Amino acid sequence: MIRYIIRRLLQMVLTFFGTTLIVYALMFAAQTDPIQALVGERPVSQATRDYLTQRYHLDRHGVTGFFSRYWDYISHLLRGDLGQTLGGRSIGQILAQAWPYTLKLSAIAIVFVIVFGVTAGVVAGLRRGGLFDHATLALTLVVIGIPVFVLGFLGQYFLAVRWGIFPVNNQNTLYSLILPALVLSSLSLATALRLTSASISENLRADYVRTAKSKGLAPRRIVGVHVLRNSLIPIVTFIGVELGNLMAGAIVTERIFNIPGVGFNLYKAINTEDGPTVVAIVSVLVVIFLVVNLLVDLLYAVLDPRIRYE
Amino acid sequence: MQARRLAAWTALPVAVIIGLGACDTANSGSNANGGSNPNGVVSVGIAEPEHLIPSNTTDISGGQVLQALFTPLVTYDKDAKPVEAQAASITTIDSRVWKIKLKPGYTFHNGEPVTADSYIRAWNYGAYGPNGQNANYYFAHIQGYNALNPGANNTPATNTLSGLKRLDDLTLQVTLSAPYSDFKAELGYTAFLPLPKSAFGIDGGLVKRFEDREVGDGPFKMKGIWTHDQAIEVERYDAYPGQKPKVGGVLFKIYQDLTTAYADVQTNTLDVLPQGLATQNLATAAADFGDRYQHSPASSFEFLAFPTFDSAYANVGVRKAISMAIDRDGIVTTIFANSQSAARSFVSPVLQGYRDNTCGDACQYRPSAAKQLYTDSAGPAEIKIAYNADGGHKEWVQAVCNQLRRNLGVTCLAQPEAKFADLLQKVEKKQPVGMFRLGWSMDYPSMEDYLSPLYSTHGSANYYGYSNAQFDRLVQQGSEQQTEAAAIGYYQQAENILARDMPVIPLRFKQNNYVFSTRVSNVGVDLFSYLNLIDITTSAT
Amino acid sequence: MSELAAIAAVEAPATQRRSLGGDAWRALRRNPVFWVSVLIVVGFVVMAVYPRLFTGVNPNDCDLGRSLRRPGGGAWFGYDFQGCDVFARTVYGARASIEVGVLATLFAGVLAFAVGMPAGYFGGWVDALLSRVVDIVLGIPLLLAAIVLLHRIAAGGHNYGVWPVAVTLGGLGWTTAARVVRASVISARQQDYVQAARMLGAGHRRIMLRHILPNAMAPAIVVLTIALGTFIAAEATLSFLGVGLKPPSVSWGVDISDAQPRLRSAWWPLLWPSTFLALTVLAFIMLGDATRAAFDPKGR
Repeated sequence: MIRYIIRRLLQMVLTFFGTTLIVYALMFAAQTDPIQALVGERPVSQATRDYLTQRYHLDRHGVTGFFSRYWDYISHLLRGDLGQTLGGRSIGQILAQAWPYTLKLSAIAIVFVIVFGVTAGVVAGLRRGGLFDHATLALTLVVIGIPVFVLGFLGQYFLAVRWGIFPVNNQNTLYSLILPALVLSSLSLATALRLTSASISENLRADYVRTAKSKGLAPRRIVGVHVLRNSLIPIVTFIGVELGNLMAGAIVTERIFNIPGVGFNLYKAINTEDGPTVVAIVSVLVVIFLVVNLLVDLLYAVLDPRIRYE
Repeated sequence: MQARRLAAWTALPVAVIIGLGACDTANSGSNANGGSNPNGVVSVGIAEPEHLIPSNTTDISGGQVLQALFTPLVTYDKDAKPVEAQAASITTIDSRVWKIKLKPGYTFHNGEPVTADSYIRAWNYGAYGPNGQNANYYFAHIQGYNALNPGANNTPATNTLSGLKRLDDLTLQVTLSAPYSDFKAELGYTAFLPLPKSAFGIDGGLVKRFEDREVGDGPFKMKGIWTHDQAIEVERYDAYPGQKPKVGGVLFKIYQDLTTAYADVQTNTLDVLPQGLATQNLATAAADFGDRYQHSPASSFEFLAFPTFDSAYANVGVRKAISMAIDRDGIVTTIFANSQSAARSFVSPVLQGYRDNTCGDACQYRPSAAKQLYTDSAGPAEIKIAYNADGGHKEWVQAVCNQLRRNLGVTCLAQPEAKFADLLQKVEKKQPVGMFRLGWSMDYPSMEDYLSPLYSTHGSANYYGYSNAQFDRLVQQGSEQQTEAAAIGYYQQAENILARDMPVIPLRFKQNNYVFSTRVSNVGVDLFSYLNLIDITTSAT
Repeated sequence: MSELAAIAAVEAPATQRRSLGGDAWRALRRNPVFWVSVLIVVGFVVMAVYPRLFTGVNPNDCDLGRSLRRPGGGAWFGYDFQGCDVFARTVYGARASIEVGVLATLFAGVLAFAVGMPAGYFGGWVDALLSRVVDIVLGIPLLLAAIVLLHRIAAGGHNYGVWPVAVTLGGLGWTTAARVVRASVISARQQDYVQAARMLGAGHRRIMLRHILPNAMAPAIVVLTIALGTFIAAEATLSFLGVGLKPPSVSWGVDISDAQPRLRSAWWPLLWPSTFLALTVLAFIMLGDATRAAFDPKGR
């Protein structure tokens, strides 16, 4: 077990570099004119252009240019220097400021997914084809049919502006993050719900349930101990992946509710063709995936004793 | 089920109108009773400024904050004419050598007096090429600019502008490289603000992250530091010798997307949204805010440009026919809820020297004449209009396209590019983008600030490559005149050439459209779309 | 009957495939849910291929003078903000939307199984490698990949149709499904019947395809059918950012995102494309459910 974890941690280092390389390459490929992108629609002063080109080596093109710029970046990174944005802000500071917001937001969202999505999924799965199951299907369809930007707008307009239940925008309180988290989690919640209900109803038909029934076990125990435990593997996996998706996918939600988190900074950095910032944000994101996925994989062994890691 | 629910929602806005109407009368009553609090704090929605160093600030949000922190040499009156502010007088005989006398008694927020050196230091820093300042080119009129900007990879031999001379503590003499009649007007731009001695380190460079703890000479001083992506707070500077603000401070709340700030004003969480009202909110703003939704003139000019490398639009008849097939008023009414106005001239109506309808018949909506002219001039069967998807232009570009399709019988495609830089790059690579949209707002109120960057051969924003030697000459002659009136004569002649050549299609002049909460009164937004922070009052405690 | 099939499977491996498929088909034929979903899917496919059967109005014939006119008269669904017929746009939007949705889902499904199955089945370094690939792909922001793929590679300025959009969405959208497949495979490979098959000398390929795949199918179908809907909606996000489908393509996603800002003035431009999108997803979810149930030996 310990060896397994150590091996996974070592893989993490490699993955980290793989990610930085790929994302840096993508940013390199996407680059048109970062200096113009920085100032929007205004004309750029030649002085600014010269200065930024020289400072960020923007004149290095082609394959060799790419590797020399990537090498610059990595060697700074290894010395603990995340670099600066083209606008001159420290990327380290941006990350330190943005991550807490996004972590809080996605933590609340994932709690919603677990509390509402999985619970409702269990209920729906036990009575597959019942009224509750159909109701949850309808909910899923509504969430899919109304994309997140519409949902966010509707939620903000009615729950915040009209009825004043929630604050309209981020106020740096946990309470003000509830509405955005609800919007953010809606799709994951619907998917988790369908997945749980499918998984539960699948397991209800498994042989061991029949055996347990014929042994005369109480239905509550069958569901609570055997079915639930066996159904959880795909659900835990899904939630693990979804945590990452929620953090990366908060671009729209963070915009609507003015949360200065990772999604917003990522969007801005992509739009201003700010390679170092994008790479830094995505690398942290990937490290979080890796940790979460390691935990999920370890959970498999807990949920199913037949699974062993060596 | 969904249909019924949505139908019920549409009934709600009516309730909103009624509710807010009642709310409004009650409130204006309380304002009339003089419930303003001289120590209250006003919150203002802005986007994250790029920078707060004056010579590096070209974005509107940064400019808005600088309005609070600094006092410019000149401000502008109702007719957009420059009037002295921090300057006591600005005089010249030949439009080339300018003498600027400063008012005494102004101090930076650290107590340091504002002197001629405060300006010289700041301007030298801004003009010095290797500092890479965004507003660097505003110093180009000053003698010695070229020596400070020898081009990429060259280090300038000097770091001071030879045209700047300190005559005494409060007098500054500026020598330009050529006569320039609009120099006084230009001095109101944020790039020409002073900086205190404490801003500079021993090496002559700026102190690291000076802009996070900016020290200015304006009516407000920083309270705490700039919390990036979140807020900038300023408080009244009590030693300010100029006109004092009527509020205790201003909290600039930073929004990632200014359009989302609208809802915060609706719920009174934010006091003023001076810029950035989204197009879709214009339709409901009057209902949501009543008389707390207001307009004021602004300098923005929106137009369609024809790339000169595209031979399909080389015939002026084609360009004029397209212009005549666009129903400007229809678009202004339906899409912009009359919050902008149709443009039929090539410079903004806020300027001295502006004339109505210089474009003439070519900017009138005459669909059948347009079609005739288009056919006669052998216009292309497919028209494309490129726009940047990040600026909220989709609705009106689409509408223009639909009008061209109906009126000219062509296919018209509205082509989005992810961002403005992508659009520009395609134009620079001479790719067949078709027509493309552009907008321009002035840095200082002069016709020259439109004519020269937009239409002169080497104009900084002339991306479409229009070039007319006679036009260039007229603009140059205008800028060398010694009086504004004389200059305008030349500028207007130059504008007449534009009407003949039609290098771009004028579409709209924008206005400031702004909303504010029930707590604030005397809200005004100026020509540069900056909120007036001196006159505003608040009842907030 | 399922016992018969099982016996047949043991005694006559050569005929097994046909009989399993035949069994499933017989089960499907009697399932009304299957027929309803097939009906809806066929309806939408016909709409996508022959939009002229449903409307004679050109979806790009728009007049600002009719902006946001309510449903009624000649226009059943009313007019949108640009003054285009909402019904015509919804009908014509079916093609691009369904193409994007189905292609992206197929692409994502193939990738999910191609990566998730071996990762879960073989474990060890195969799993390590493939799982890390998934981690990296998960980290790549959709917007960035879309800009590179659609903006740089798929040539600038031209209307390149739905393929690159579908590949982009599918190419990034398979990771959740792949992880779910991997998880099911890990849990299935420990099951007694898999051990038994291995003992009997079945090869890896046979075990994976015959014994594990059907078990990994159920959760993957759930995730993928929902993903189909989100792909259609995600296309709108890309178009909104200026890197997705370009005019004159008409799609539900684009119409939904265009209608959203004016929602407080008019609901009908949003309602209809949303409803059609939801119906499509419903049809695919039901179809997926029915097929899965039919192929599941435990269910019969």
